[in-house]
Amino acid sequence: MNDLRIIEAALFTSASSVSESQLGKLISKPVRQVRDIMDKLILEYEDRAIEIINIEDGKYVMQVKREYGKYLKNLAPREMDTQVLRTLSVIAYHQPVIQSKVVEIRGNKAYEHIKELEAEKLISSKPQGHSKLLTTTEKFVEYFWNEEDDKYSNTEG
Amino acid sequence: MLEEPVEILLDLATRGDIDPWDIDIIEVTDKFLKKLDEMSQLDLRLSGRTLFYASMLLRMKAEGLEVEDTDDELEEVLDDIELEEEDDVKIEYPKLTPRIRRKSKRPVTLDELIKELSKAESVERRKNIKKYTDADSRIKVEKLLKIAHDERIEEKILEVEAMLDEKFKGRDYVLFSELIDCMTPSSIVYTYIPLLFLASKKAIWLEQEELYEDLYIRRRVDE
Repeated sequence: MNDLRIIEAALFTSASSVSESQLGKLISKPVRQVRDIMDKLILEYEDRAIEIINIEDGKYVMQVKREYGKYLKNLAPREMDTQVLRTLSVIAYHQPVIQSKVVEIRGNKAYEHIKELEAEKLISSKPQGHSKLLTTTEKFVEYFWNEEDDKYSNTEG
Repeated sequence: MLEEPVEILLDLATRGDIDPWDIDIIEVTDKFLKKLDEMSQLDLRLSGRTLFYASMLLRMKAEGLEVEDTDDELEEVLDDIELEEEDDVKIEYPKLTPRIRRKSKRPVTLDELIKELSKAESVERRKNIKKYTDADSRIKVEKLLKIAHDERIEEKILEVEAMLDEKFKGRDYVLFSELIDCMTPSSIVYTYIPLLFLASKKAIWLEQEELYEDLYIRRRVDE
C-alpha cells in the first residue's frame, strides 16, 4: 500500500490534528520520511477545497479552506452545545463576572457549562470570596477573532 | 476404624453424604472436618493429609470446569469448519465492511455567540419583568389590606352582616335603604362597601332593577 495514501486516509479520518510520529508509526517509517510525504501531499491538495496544513511543530490537520467554510454552515453541526454557548456569551458580555451572577442568569446548569468552558480553556477563573471570578481567555479571542472579516471560521475536524 | 482420608471420603460417598460426581468442596470439607471431630484420636498427620486431599479435590474440579470450557471452544471450531465447508459448496455470504466516514463539526461563529447573548438577555429580561410584576402585585394587595384595616372595613363588614341577619328573618330580600338610618354620602359608602365585600365573598346577591333605584340584597343560596 502506498504510504502517501495511508497518510491521506489517516488525516481524513482524524477529527483533530495528527502528529508526525503518529503518522510514522502508521507506515512504519521514520519521521524524516513522513515529512517528505507530507510535502507532496500538501502540494497535491493545493487546488482543492480541502487543505492539509502544519498547524504546529509536526502536527498536521486536514480541513476545509477558509473561503468554503461559509457554504457549509448548515451541513456540519456546531462543535459547541447551544446552552454552553449561551453561558459563554453571558460570561463574555458581563466579564469579569462572578460565577454566582452567571448562575443567577443562566440557572444551575451553568456550573456544568463553566466546567466545560474552563476545560476548553475558553474561560479562566480565580477565586473571589466563596465564588469564582470568570473572564474569557486569549484562546477565546483567537477562536472568535477573524482577521479577514470572514464571518465563518475554517471547518476543521 | 477409619484412618486414611481417602477411606473417610469413600465412607461419606457410600453413605450418600456426598455425590462423588458433583463434589461441593466446601460441603465436603465441612463434613470431612466434622468426621475428624467425631474420631476419638486426633492425628496431626491425618488433618494435614485431609487438607492435601481437599486441595486435590479442588484442583480436580477446576480441571473439570476447564475441560467443559474447552468443549465449548471445540464446538465453536467445529461449527466454523462446517460453515466453511458449506461456503465452499454453494453459499457465498457478502462480507460487510463499513466505510470510514469523516464526522465533521464546525467551530462556532461570532454571530452565533452574539445571537445566544441576545437570547440570554431576553430570557433575563422576562425573568426580571416577572419578578417585578410579582413584587408589584404583592405591594398592591398589602396596600389594599392596609387601607381596609385603616378604614375599619372589617368591623363594618361584621356590623352589616349582623344587621342583614336580623333583617333577613322571614324574608327573601332586604333593601339597601333599610340598612341606613340617615342617607348621608359617608353612611351610603360605609354601608355599600361592606356589601360589596360580602358579595365578593359570595355571601349575598346584589341586584338593582332600575338605575338610581333601591338595591335588593338577597341571601345567596349555594348552588
